Amino acid sequence: MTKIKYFLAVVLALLAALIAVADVPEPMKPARLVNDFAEVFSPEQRAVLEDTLVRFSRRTSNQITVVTVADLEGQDVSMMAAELGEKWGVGGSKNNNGVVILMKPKNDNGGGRVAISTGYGLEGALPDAACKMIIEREMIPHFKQDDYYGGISSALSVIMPIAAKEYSIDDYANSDDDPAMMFIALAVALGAIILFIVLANATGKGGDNNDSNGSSGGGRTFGGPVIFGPGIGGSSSGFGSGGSGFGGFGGFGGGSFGGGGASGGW
Amino acid sequence: MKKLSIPVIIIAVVAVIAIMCVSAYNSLVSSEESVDTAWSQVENVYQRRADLIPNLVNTVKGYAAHEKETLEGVVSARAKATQMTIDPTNLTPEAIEKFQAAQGELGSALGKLLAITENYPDLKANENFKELQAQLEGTENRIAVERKKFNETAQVYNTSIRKFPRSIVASMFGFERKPYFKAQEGAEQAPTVQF
Repeated sequence: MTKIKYFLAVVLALLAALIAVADVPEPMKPARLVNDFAEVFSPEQRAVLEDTLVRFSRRTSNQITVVTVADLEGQDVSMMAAELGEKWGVGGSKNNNGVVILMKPKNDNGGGRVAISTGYGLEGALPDAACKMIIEREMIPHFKQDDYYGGISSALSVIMPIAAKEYSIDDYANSDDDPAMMFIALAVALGAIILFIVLANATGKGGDNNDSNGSSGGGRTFGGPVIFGPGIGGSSSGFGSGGSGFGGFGGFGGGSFGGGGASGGW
Repeated sequence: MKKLSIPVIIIAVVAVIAIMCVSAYNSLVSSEESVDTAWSQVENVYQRRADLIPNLVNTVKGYAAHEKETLEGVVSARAKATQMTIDPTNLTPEAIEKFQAAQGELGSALGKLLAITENYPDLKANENFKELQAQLEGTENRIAVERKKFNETAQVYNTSIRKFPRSIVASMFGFERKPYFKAQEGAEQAPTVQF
């Protein structure tokens, strides 16, 4: 009985964990920097913001994403912003130079809340107190008038020059260590495959009576990369670093967030 | 040829097992390493909070010197909390519980201090205090984030040492389960800083 109870408790805990994880929305597809879930911007405003942010990210490598949600589902806005940044991987994976601006407009679900969450790499450039000031001076006065676009764009006009100083395009050029890792992983996997093919052939030559050896050897040629897989690829670099340069925004870069920044309400 | 094939098979099998063991061991090491890193991040952000306190206490003193009890409560809770550090190799459930208790005490002392500042409009208008409050708020959020990350990393590690065949390697080399931070209870709820 106690075992069953224990099992049930574990299942419930897992379910709760799943539900908790599900609270952060998935990024819109195709990837973009303005994720207006709450639909507070007009299509033109959205296009202008997206264009500004994509240009900025190309020029400076800093990724700033603007996310609006209609409901925080009981979560703290700054916690949600940090989690969202981490899950989506906003900013580069080496410099962690992402910023998440998460805004929930004032609506039937409660008062307005906004958070600026800084990636680890931008905590120095945009300290908490600066984020607080930007929220209070640039955002909330506009938000109080239901001018969401005005608040966001005036905050961006402050944030972008500050963030740009921290990382330049030069850092970006040296920031991508993924191809090297990929190459090493590929080389090791290839080496393993060749090794197993050679071994399998050596054993296969042994005669007709051991067909089973031949086939299990064949199985191992596929097994090779799997064995190495968890060792090398296990570091869950996470959210798509791929798709660079298809017209618009190329995708988030795997940046990490530690909860820096500030939040405010109106 | 036939005689040669058997040693080759044995060598191949042994090699495969050896490679698997080495790879399992290495991934366990790096998994444990990331738990240690996550732990030091947790300590960093708690230290960050502790570092803000002297300045905060001094600022509050300037406006509310007679709230001695509350101020001293924060100072002594800070002293206790900063004494508690855990070497990541000694992460035991007891150690983490003690750490959490000490930090929780500091958290509630801070909560009390922030609650009384509500009665001092001049203090609340002070630029320095506002900045400290913003930093404290950000730090509490960092604490929540790093604790969560630590638990997630520890969970990945704990799962990996129990999964076959890594569990064999794990028990052979004495990889032990890591404890978790418990969910926040009322007493140690991060002080909510409302504006």
